[in-house]
Amino acid sequence: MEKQSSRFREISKGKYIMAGVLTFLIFSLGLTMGIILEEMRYNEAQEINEEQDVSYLSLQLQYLMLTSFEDQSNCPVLLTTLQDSIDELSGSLSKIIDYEKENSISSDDYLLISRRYTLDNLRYWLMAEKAKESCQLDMVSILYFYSDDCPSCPNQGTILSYFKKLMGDQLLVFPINLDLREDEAMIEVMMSLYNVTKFPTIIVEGDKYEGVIKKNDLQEIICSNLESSDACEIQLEDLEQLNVSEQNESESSS
Amino acid sequence: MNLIGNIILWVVYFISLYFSIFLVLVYFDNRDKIKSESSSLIPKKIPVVSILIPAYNEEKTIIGTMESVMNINYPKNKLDVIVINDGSSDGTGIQAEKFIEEHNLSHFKLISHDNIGKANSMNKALKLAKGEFFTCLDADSFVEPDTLRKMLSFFYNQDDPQLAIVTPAMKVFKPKNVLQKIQWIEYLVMIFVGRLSSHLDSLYVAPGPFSMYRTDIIRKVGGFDNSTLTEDQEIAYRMQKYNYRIKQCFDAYVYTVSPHELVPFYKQRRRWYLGSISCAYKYKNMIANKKYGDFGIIQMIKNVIGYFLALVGIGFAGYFLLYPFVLKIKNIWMINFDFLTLFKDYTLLFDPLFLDIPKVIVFGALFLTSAFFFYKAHQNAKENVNAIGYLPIVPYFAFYYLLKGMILIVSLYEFGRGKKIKW
Repeated sequence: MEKQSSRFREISKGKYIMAGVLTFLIFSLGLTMGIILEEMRYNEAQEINEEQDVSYLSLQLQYLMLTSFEDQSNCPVLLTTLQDSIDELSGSLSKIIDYEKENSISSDDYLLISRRYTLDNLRYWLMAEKAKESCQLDMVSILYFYSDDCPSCPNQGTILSYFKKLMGDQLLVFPINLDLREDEAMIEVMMSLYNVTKFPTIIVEGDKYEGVIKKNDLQEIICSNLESSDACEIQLEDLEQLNVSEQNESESSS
Repeated sequence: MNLIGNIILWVVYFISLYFSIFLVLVYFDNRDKIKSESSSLIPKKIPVVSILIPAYNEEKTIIGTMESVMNINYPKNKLDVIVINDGSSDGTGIQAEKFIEEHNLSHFKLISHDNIGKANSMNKALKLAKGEFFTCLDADSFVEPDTLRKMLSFFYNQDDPQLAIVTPAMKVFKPKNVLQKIQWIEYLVMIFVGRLSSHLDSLYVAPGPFSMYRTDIIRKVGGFDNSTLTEDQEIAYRMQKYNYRIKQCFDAYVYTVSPHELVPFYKQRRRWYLGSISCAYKYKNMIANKKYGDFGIIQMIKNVIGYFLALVGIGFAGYFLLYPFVLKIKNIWMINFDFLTLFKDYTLLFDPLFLDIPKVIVFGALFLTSAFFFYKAHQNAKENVNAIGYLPIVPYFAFYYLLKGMILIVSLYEFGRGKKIKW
């Protein structure tokens, strides 16, 4: 029976090829535009780096002024510039990280930019430490060692950015990606300075804390290093209010 | 993982886009034919047609099914209706008997026997059938009065002795809840894709409700296969194998009750998928076989690759959507869900540089072809397209594909283990 006529059987070769060509064209269009975009991204990252350079120069000069003339009147300006530079830096990082996420293959360019970012972070951290001393600033700086491979690091990251939002200028967070340690010697230096072996690890004012530090514990640690902070006071007020309301309840019940 | 995962993903995109574009090309190639196709209500001959209604525990719908057959616009003396009560444990048999008596339907015949399954019932009816044409209407489906005439005209207009099966255009009967409405749209798309496949001689399923067979041909190929879960697919594959033709009559409407709850839906689809996997396996010789033309090259390959696409799709949906979602929830849980602080000074900046352009373009193309099919499917089935009315269904569709994919995975797993299921 299988030998019956199959004259109606056709192979639409033309359509197979046409569909292949069209699919290929759409893919090439996408890839070409992707390459153009990659170029634009790299240029933007370069631009960000140049801006960072200029603000760092400005900071350096301001600090020099401060130490040379022992004049604390430009402390507020220095502080503002420092904060702005750090904000800018973290803003540019999130951009670069987003770019990287969209990229399937990590490029050498990305490695370079990431190293650059880590170094920028470290010099701001040094600058902040020095400025804190000279200007007697009431702020806490945290070094945050993490790795992309560590599953609990995003938890610590979320808690840190939460406190950054809560405390604003009084808290400075400097993230350091340990994945780059083979390419950037400075990371090894920092690791041996604080004897970092695990991640996530945070260094708050010279004290090392390993593993994920929960929200309440971190608040305690930060607040113990600050003279006064709204975020810390709110907590106390809440407690007081709670006490008052408890007292009221016990009074009314009696 | 990242590199391999990405390569697999891009292969999936490429294959999906390729098949979509191929179907669009088939449409444009046959556009004039499709536009000029019209149905006729006057067949060249009025042959005897046998209609089988197999019923197993369908007391709720059997009356409606029998009513629709009673109302078929066709001479009663040319109709040979066989109702088979396949060992129902409910009132199906009594209902059917009462209905035949009440309406004095001399052209209806009721047969009751112990439960032997659908395919065996069909074969039994096939032996008894007096008609030149044989069709079967599941007891959960209804046929429009003119459908029979349209299909017969179609048979005669094709004028091809090799044409063995004409399939109807199956719609969902009065969809009520969201699950049924999604299936309603799905069936419209299936009608349209079926019509295109019909032009390529690539139909691989003759839907249970009211597919019409030439009685002598189906007897010649040995009747229905009682060892498969989906005898309506198996018979279509077998016809293709023997180089008989299957065509769709684009406006011969049949309505079927679709599952309205997840459990019956799951059972139905699992049966379909297991049946289709075993059919594809049984007829694996036709895969990429040039002898079978477009059916072997495109349709069979598409059917097999479809399993791969679904598997990868589900895997990646889990990896790229579900897993990060769980992580995110855990992150936010660490700060006691204090969203307000986290989003303080939050500025949502749209950065076009952030977009992954290759993906955007490929997805855009996929979306456009889907929208095209969605629109054409409505137009083809003479339904109104009301995009706003269907918008709420869009998110459900994502869930729906996930659901179907998961059922497919279960089916593949069961097929791999060689487990037999009953339905």
